[in-house]
Amino acid sequence: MTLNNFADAYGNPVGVIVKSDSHIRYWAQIYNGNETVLPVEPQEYAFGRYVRVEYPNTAQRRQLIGIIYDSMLLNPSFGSLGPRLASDDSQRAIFSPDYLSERAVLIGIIAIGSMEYLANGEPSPDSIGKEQGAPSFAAELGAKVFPLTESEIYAFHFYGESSEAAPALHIAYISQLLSAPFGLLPQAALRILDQLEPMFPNYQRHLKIIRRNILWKQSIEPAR
Amino acid sequence: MNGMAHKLAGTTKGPGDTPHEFIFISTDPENILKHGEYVWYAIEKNNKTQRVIARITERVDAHGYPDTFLSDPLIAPQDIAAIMGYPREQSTIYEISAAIMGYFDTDVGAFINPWIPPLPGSPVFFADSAMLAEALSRKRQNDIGSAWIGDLLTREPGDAPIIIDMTEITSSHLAVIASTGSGKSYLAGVLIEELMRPYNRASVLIIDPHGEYSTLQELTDLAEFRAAAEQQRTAYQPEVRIFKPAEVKVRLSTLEIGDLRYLLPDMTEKQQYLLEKGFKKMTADPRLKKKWTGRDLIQAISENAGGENERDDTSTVGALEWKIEARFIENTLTFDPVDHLDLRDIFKPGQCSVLPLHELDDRNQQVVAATLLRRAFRARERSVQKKEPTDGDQNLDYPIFILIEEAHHFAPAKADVISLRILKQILAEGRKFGMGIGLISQRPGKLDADVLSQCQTQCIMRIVNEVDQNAVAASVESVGHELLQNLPALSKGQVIISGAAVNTPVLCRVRKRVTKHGGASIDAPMNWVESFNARTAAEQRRNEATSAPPSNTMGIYRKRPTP
Repeated sequence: MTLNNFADAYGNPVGVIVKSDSHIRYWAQIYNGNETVLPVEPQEYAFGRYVRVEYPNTAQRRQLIGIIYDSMLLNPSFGSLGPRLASDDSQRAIFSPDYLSERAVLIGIIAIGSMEYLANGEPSPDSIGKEQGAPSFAAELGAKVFPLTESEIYAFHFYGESSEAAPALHIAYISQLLSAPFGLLPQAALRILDQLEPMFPNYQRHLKIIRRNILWKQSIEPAR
Repeated sequence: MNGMAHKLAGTTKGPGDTPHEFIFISTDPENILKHGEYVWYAIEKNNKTQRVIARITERVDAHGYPDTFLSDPLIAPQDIAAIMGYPREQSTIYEISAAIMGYFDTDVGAFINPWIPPLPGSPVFFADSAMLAEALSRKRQNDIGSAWIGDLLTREPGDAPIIIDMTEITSSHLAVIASTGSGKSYLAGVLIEELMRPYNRASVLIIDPHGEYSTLQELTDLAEFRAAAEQQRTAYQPEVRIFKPAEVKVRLSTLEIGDLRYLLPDMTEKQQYLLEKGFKKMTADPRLKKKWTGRDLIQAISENAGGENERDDTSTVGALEWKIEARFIENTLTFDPVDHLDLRDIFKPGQCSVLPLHELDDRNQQVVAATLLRRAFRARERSVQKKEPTDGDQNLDYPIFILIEEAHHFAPAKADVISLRILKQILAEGRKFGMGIGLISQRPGKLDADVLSQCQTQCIMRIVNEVDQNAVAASVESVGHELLQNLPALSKGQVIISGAAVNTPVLCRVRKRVTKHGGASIDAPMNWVESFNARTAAEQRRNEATSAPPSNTMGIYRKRPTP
């Protein structure tokens, strides 16, 4: 099994990396109906979702972990105001199919770490394969983007510091979301708390405090 | 430096707010860098490494948590920080300010300020107890002239004893200032115990307006003292003489005209004039041989008043005579023509005398103190100047120390009290004549400021009252403002010692007394309960004895059934 089809074997990709702004900020293009058998549902690339991006050329079963923090609609004929043959998409499929294929949905992904997977496709359970914060390796163009499953999200966040230490919740990348100069990141941080809170009932009070801290900085402090 | 590894406290960040302060950074994992604790850094001085000691004055958490992290009492902020990727073991870093005291120069016997803070990045060490014990105290334990008052407050009991210099205290005076209940009489007891130790054998008098020093009697039979004396191969047991109130007498002839004026208040100008004239005449009379009575004074006044120009003096003289009679003839408890306290009974090396004044009224207390202080001062003055006594009193050939309780009563701030003048004189000149004064007061605000500032060693305990705090700050120069801020926070038995008897102001925990403490307050509720129980028990016994039927043990009478 090559690494490429390893990734494919565990879930359906939603798109591919098409551009990057920095080591941690990427743009991925969502597959349209022509590229996949099953159409990609909007909730699969919703704002604040965890995704993994395959590292095609590394020898390890390591995946970049990221969060969708932005989206963009691409329309190459934006601004072409001349008359068209077709007025809706069913007609356009016949008269100008190229126009449809050039339209795209892009999603912004911020890299928040990386995680190693076991041979059976399960995420590694201990701290060794986990990296939170800026990942060591950048993603590559054309790399496939997959939504993270609940058990993957759990594994990425809950592990022991060492083999002796009791497993605990880790969200070390959250300050990265809060301190980056991009306006939507704190909102994304709130969204990930929405996902983590039901997953970690023992940490609800802790997460509430973190949420309160973000909310205060987001809503009250600017108003003061 | 010895080969011992020194305990690192932190790393210097740079100079502080003032030239004598610096800031260092520490994680303080053992939590030992408390407020008031001592640290040191090394400097090179004349090819010698000197350890510059500094006292911690402020400790700020340099990495504080946001307030929201503290919003849930059930969740520790460290836990949230840990979730967010901040290592738990590094959760606190302190920025610590320290005031430079200097390195201790054994030749000079004082701290020398090097005027140079440690270089940024250089190590700061925790000062070990042995080093502090050596640097903070003037004397070593069991030296002649040493007094073990207690231990350094920030260290464990016994680790760094604070030994003060009795030589300084007995020559340049002492003030013990503290609110009621903060342990000032207890501290005074410790001081007396130290003064009476075999290696000091002081001659001490306590002027005790409350009669709370009677427990010192135990000093005469302490195994600890006996053992120490045996070690020095001398048979020494301190004597404690507690004078009975009836023994506290003032010989009339030791009173001066100022004393008389003070004891006979509200005199008219004319009465004062007549008194002065009569007093002069009487004291010049060779027949009385300097031992006059109240009657002699009345006679001298009436003889004088009989002169040609003073025909209308009858009523004035009558009133004056009545006053003298009331004070000196009817009040024979205090004043006596012949008897008075013998200076050599009161002052003896190795003896602690207690003069209880609680049976006297205020003015008499002040006059007793004033006359005694005056006589003692003159006796010492004559001895030092090698003069023979002329007033029929004795000389004192050894230095003396007088501890005055409720000092504000004898040297008040805004009143002219007869004892104030002589106290001022002794405080100013006592050093020359080997006469030391210890003032104890709970109201420094009511104490004469000059008197307070003359005491070169201060033991300051908890003071909450702001007026008193200001009085201390104004008249005690040796204690820094920063140390005085601790005054309201001091606990019972904690004392700031500063001035001549220590090398630097120091926060000290008073040691345990060997003798029992006599000044403790009365436990009123306990006494009430005991007294009540005793009374009810007595009543019950009475009831049982008279009428209670044997079946009715509770003492409650059953109603007789109505026929």
